[in-house]
Amino acid sequence: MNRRSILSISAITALGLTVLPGSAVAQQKTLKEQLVGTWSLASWEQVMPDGSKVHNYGTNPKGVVVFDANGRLFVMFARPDLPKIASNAPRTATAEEAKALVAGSLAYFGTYTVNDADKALNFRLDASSFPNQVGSDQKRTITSLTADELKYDTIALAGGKISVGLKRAK
Amino acid sequence: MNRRSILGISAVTALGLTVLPGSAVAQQKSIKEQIVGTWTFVSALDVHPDGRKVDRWGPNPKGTFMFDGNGRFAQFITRSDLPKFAAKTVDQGTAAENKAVLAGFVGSFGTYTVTEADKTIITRVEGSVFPNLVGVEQKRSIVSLTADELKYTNPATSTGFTAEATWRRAK
Repeated sequence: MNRRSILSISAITALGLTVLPGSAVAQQKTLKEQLVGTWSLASWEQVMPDGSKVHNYGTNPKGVVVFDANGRLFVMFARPDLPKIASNAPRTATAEEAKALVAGSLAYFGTYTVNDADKALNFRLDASSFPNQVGSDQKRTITSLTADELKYDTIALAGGKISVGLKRAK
Repeated sequence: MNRRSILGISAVTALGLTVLPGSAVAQQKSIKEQIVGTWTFVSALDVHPDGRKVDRWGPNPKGTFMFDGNGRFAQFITRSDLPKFAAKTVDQGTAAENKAVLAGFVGSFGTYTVTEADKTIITRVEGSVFPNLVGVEQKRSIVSLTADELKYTNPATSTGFTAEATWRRAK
């Protein structure tokens, strides 16, 4: 073995270690590893039992879903056309403004777990802008997951099915 | 240079690359690197013009402040005593229920940058339950930052007051 071959082996070893996280490991990622990060809301649609479709956050909704690596979750959805509060202070919003803001947005945080076998997510809500949800467990079923896109469904409490579409935030 | 010395140099180089992220770099982390992650709300006091400090979050408040590695943030602070809606659906809250929610929580998301020199975090809100904040830049001045605790002042909160906030790293 000469000097050149030794250098080559060293270089290959170093390269191998560097490349590993980006290629070989990526192919065997768990669902949770694929989920971790920040996602932007692309679509939100509820299909009612009678087949009609409802877009509670409008047809161009804004929102974010964050899954952190330690199992913590943040979700926020909002209509893009929420009215600004005339008084410029949340606690002095008019009744109409307050109703529009509370009904036209949703925010919660908590923890999440992933069941790889049935592609199910469980959200446990520690806090929510809809107080009735605090402390609840909510199940989501992943219907599509790529590096850039995540879609999941949930059964709506009021009936029907809600489909959420997300794009990985850049 | 003989075979052994070449191997030695390679080993040192490899070792250096491996060890670097865990030790040498840790000691010179930027503020941004230190704040990335999830923080749990401890307290925030509104400082009134007359110097009074008022806790508007009540007992056992809850909150989270997430900073991702790509410059995105999400924040939520809430009282723990928001009334449940009698109608059980979010679009049928009474005037009093809706008012309590709006007065008792803040939530927003968007992007952030850190100015290392003057230790400030600047957030730009893309979405908020308080839409007046959308598009607004908020500047928070870091008072102290350790591995487990972040304290900052926010000179202009949604209530119009200065606030002093404390967060601890989520476990």
